[in-house]
Amino acid sequence: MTTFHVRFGLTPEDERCLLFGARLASSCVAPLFVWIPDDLAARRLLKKQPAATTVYMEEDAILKHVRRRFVHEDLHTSYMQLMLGDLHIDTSRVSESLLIGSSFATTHPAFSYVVPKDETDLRARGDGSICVPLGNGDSARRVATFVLPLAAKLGVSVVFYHTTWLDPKLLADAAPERHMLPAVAEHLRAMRAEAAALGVSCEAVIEAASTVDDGILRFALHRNCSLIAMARSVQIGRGSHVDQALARSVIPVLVVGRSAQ
Amino acid sequence: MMAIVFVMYLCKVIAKLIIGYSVHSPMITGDGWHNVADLLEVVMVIVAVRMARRPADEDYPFGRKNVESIARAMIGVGLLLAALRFVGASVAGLLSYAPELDRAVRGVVPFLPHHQPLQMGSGIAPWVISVTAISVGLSFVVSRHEIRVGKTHGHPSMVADGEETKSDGLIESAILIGICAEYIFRAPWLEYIFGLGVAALISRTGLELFLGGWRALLQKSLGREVETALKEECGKIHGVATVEQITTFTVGSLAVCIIKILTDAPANAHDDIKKALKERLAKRLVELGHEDATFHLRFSRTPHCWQRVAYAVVSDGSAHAVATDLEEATHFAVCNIKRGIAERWWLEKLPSADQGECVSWLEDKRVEKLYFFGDRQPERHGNVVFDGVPTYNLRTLGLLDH
Repeated sequence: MTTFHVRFGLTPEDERCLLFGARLASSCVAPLFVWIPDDLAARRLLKKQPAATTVYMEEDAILKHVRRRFVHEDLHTSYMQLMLGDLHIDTSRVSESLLIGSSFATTHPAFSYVVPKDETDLRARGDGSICVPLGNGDSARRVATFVLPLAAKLGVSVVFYHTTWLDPKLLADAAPERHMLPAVAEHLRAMRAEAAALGVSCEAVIEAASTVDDGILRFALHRNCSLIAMARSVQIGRGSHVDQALARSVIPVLVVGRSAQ
Repeated sequence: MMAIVFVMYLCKVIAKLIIGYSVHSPMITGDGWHNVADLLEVVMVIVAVRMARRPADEDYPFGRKNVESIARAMIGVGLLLAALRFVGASVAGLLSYAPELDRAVRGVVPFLPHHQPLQMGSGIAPWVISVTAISVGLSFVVSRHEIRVGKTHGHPSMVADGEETKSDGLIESAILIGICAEYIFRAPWLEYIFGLGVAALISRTGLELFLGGWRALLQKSLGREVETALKEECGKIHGVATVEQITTFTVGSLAVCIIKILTDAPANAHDDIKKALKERLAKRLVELGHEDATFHLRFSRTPHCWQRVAYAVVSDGSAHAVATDLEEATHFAVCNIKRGIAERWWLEKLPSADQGECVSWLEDKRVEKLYFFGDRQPERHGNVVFDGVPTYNLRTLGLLDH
């Protein structure tokens, strides 16, 4: 992943996303593209100056505003680039891009995006691990492919979390690992190898929680994870774990898009 | 455990009273009677522990663990009195070497006890020394075990009784030294010097126990250090904006923490935050020496300031843009702002081209700020501040959806 993208806005959520993105980009030494929504019809109403002048005027005012904000937060604007118009990313770079903000959730399902919730910094609550929940599907593998390089750049550890149904053939108090399906064990092994190759420290936690969503959120909060990274399964119609996490989590949630391989 | 302590004290009482009366030793006899009081104390601790074990109910929402604090404070007072008695006996013993000074001191302190030297034949001395030595050993072994069991099971009254038993061991050591000093080294004054040191140790333990019980009964806080640590721990949990209020106290060995948390998290996340907070805070309290704790967490939304602002807008009915000045504007977009978000906004036609009339109109509408597009310095006009926003686009301002 090489680029971060955020939409400029003046609401508290937009401001949080901008700061979150700026800090993330700064930590990864990667460019941050700040997209300024354009409204040609509205711009034409401002008759005191040509429409093109309005664009420059807005860009200049936004740059000053962002600089003031960044200086206040002790951030640099050198890696930030203002972009006019709606988000546009070359198709070949989609898998390398991370969008910041919940507004991208519905408009760009192919993209990976992170919802910072109420945080302005991934490390606001300390150097917590990135929590990657996994099931027997392959969505966690997609997450790992996307998140492990990010974790390597940020220098944080990753914790793979799996909550399993109890196998009726085994004693209920047997170690949760024994209740785990073979497919999960296989995914876990592959992801551990991937993490080791990138030099990311990782661990796996297997539990038998009452429900998956409860388990993920309780575990991530208890472990003080800084991010929950998930991917939507293509088979799920309604009630995906991603939707549940987005609705309930107070920890930033990263949703890996379908284009990420 | 308490049954063992009871049996130990019973044996001590029988042995000490028999030997004390047979050798005419007021110190041993007195200590025997002191152990009778210890027996009653053990009964009190047994009752207190049983009561404290009863679960919380509607009448006693925090349980009955404070009954142990009462027992703890009483044992503390008992130890302070025992230390005072021991100081008196030791000082009287030392003064017996200087009769003139003894008379002078008794003139000022008339209640000083009279010195009663040991009257023991050499034939019985080994028996007395053996019994006292066994008693010392028993006291230290049993007290150590009692304190450990009390701490493990969270019974401060049992810990206090263990401390009391340890103090008994120290008193018995002083007596043993006195007996040995008199019959082996012919220097009984050693007992009194040692006795003063023992009295100091006992009074310190007594004071600690009394203050511990007193503080728990008066619901003293766990201390600034603990509360700061708990606040820091809360701040590490996602979803917690700030800790508005923290109240801590103890009920027996139970640490009670009532914490009011400000949060902007949605209501459906409160349970998750609460569970995580309870687990993390309990772990932190264990590190700080409080094994048993209960948490009462209350969540409130962060306070918000309601504000009304307006944007000078150019509008053709379908498209809207923030105007650069009043001359250009056709409408005011009046917004009710809560937590930085425009919860409600509507368009009003500009009342007049005149700035003064516009300001009066805005004042009537209780508008505090009027924004224009562009980088400009805030400027006050009447009760309204004219200010700039870096965009003309209502979507960027959050007034229209993306």
